[in-house]
Amino acid sequence: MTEKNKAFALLDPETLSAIGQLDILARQVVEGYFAGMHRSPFKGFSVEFAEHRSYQKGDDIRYIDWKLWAKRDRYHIKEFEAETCLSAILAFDASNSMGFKGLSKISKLQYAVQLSAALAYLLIRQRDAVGLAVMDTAVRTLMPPRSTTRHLHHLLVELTRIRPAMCTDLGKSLMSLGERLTRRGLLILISDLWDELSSIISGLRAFREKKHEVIVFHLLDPLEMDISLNRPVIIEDMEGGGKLPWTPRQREAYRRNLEQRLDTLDKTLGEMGADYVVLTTDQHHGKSLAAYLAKRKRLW
Amino acid sequence: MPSLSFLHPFNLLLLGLTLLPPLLHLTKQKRYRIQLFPDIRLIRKTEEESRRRFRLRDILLLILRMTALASLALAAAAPTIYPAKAPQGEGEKRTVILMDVGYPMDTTLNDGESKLELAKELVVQFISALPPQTKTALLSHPRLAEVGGLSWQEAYTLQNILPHLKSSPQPEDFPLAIAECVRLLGEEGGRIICPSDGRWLYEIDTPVDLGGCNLDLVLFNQSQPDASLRLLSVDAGEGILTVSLQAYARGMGGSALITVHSGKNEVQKRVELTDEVPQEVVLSIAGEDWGYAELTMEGDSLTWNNTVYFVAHRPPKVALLVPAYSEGYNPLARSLDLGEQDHRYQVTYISPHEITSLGPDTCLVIDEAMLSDVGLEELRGFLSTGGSILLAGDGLLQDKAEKLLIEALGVAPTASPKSGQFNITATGTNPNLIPPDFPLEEVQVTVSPHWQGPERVVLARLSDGSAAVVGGGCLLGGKMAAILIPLSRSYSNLTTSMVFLPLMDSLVKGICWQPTPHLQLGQQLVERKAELLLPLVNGEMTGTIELPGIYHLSGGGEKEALAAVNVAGINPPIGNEQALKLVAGGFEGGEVKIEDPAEFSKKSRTARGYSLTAVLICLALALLIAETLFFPPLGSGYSRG
Repeated sequence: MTEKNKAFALLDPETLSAIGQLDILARQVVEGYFAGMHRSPFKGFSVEFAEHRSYQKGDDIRYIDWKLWAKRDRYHIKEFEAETCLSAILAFDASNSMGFKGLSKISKLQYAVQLSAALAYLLIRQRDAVGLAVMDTAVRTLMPPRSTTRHLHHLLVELTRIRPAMCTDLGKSLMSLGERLTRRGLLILISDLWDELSSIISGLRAFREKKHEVIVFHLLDPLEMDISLNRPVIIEDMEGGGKLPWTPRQREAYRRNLEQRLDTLDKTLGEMGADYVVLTTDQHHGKSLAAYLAKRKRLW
Repeated sequence: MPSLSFLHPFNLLLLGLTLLPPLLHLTKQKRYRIQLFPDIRLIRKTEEESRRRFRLRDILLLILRMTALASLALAAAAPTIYPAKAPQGEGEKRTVILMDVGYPMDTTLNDGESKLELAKELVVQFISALPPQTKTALLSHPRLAEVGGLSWQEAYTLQNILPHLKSSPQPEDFPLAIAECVRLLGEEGGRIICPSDGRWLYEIDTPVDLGGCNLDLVLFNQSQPDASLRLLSVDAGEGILTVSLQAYARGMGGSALITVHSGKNEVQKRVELTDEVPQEVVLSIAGEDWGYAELTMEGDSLTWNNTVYFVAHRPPKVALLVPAYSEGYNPLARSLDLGEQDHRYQVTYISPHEITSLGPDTCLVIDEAMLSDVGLEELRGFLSTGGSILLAGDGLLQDKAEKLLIEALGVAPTASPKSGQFNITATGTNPNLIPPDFPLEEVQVTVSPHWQGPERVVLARLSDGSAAVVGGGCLLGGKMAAILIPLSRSYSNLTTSMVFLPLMDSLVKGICWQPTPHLQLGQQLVERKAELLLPLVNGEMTGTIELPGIYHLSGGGEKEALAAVNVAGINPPIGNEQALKLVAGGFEGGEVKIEDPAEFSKKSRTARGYSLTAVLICLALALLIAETLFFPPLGSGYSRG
């Protein structure tokens, strides 16, 4: 399978069908001048040329490329980057812990890749720009947000190349990413959030202070939700945190502590105005995403 | 202080098994597989939380398992606690076993075991019961002549030697053997245990000096030269006692005189006895219902006297009323198959006019159908002597029977305040009158209004009204009874025999048959044999022995007591008074005690101590059960959650 095919395989029909006609609606005013679905405070702001597309009824004739009409005798509309009203960045956690595959058929990383692909497709389909930031201890890869179909292709190819590596330092990575993003927009963090809570929260808070909208997809394997091993084992940290003996009698306490951690995240991020979505890798990412978008639309 | 010792101390090595749980714990940890996990910070937190909580659980579990294994190991070692004893003198901690291994000890006892084998078993028991510090020695027949050769030996050595001892034809010299024992025991004294048949007691010419030691003679004295008498049976009838006896001589033969006493009468018979050939003698005597028989036989140097006592046993008399014209035919007796061959009763058949000839110890059984043939005066006369009446039938003539009884007893028919309907219950009914399988819960009883007072006849009627049922009860001090047998169709499965015989059995015995005081005394003595027989036989009984509720045996009642003992089929444990006399004059300078082998064995068993094996096994089982209940295997309890 070529890289291109592999990339587009991420957008499986089931996922696309599940997402359906739902669109992401920005909750707040975002930068951009496109007067479509999203409200923007900026008007007449010049932007970079992106691509041509065929003229359709209702298009503003100001954007007809007359030179191209002269050559081909057909109307084409020039599209620019800033036509999108939403600039989203997919912050992708690619630390070692994301490579964990417990009771599910796929690892968290594979799940995150599929989820990211679906989100990217969705955003680009509604003419929003989407970028990608692959992070572990730092921002490893950064693709600036764009809204073109070609960009989607590049983004998907990049997603297929992601391999888990290094440890997690979400706080530092998010800070670094925040400094590099000049425009306000939407931050979609896809991670298992295995880092210090204070560090994660401070990183996300920095985004919120810059008026970014934040959505956090917290990915967990079913085995992480409930360690249902019925025999004592030695548990080894995938990010080099050491080894610990584990016995089934710790199961209840672990579950209790995990719930407490999730509650803390939910409460803190909620107060911050960020969306917090817990996904387990045994759920179908398309359906989970659809459910989230439906809920988000209702809230809006 | 109670002492603890182990019967199998080598098994204490099994205590090493207690190391198994910690070893398993340590080795098992190495086999844990490694599970990769994204992050262990939460696990570290839960581990810290649970470590404190479960450390105690682990320690308890470990202790519990180790204790269970230790209990099993200790149980295998058979620990025994010896009861605390009074402080012993040095002399009492020294015991010499003087074993009689003469040929006569090979004589087989009643249970098929030889006296020697039994003696060896008893001595092994005795040695195992000795406190650990006791000095022991064994002097058996082959070593009797080795003066000065006896020395102290370990108890377990003796236990190994004893089973291999065999009888020997060498001549016995017990006085010399006792002297050797006394030499070993020395001035400190001690105890000599001598299991023997006691034949050598007859050979003591001059008293044996025990040197301050105690001699316990465990006598198997059945094979001593002896002449004895055994009671076979006593038949009583018409004032004549027919006594069957068995005379027996052992170790000698000759002429023996047998005398039977009863009341003031006596009869004698001389028989020639051959060695170990029993001979039966039957003598008849008129007198009381008890007596005694004596055997006198003169040997070379001694005269043997042996006495047995007897009590006549008379079965209760039952008189079945038959029609005057029937010539002995009685349908009731026929249906009951109650003939003369039934040895439980002395059954006679009488006509109605013979009622007046019955004695007060007779129970008159009247078929309900024959009530019309009975004269009121005869019945009343019979009852006035204290006789008992058993009225039997199917209840169809209940009213008539009731009327007859009222008239015969002269009780005016008055209304009873307790009359009315009620159900029979176990507490409200004389259990002797109701057979166990009788369907009581289905019977509704009507108390006849014609009777009053507690000793009333209860006339019952089946709840379906088909037939009258039982009338059961006693009148006039227990001398009157009436029974009507339920034979309704509803209870056709109850045959006459099934219902009537148990009723009659209990009623007749309860009313007109009382065991003689002697027999009751005999039964009591069987239960208290050890306590009572020895003083009785030895003639040491003084004062009064009280047998609650039965009999008061005063100093003058020994013969009656011995008669009762014989009736009950027991023999005195020390029957040979000659041996006692010989012992009394055969020793000096120490205490001699005669032990019955059975009593000796019992005492040894008691002194052996109490085994803790069962307790430890129970403890181990309890611990394992507790582990299963309170400490489920890791994981299993949580997978449900």
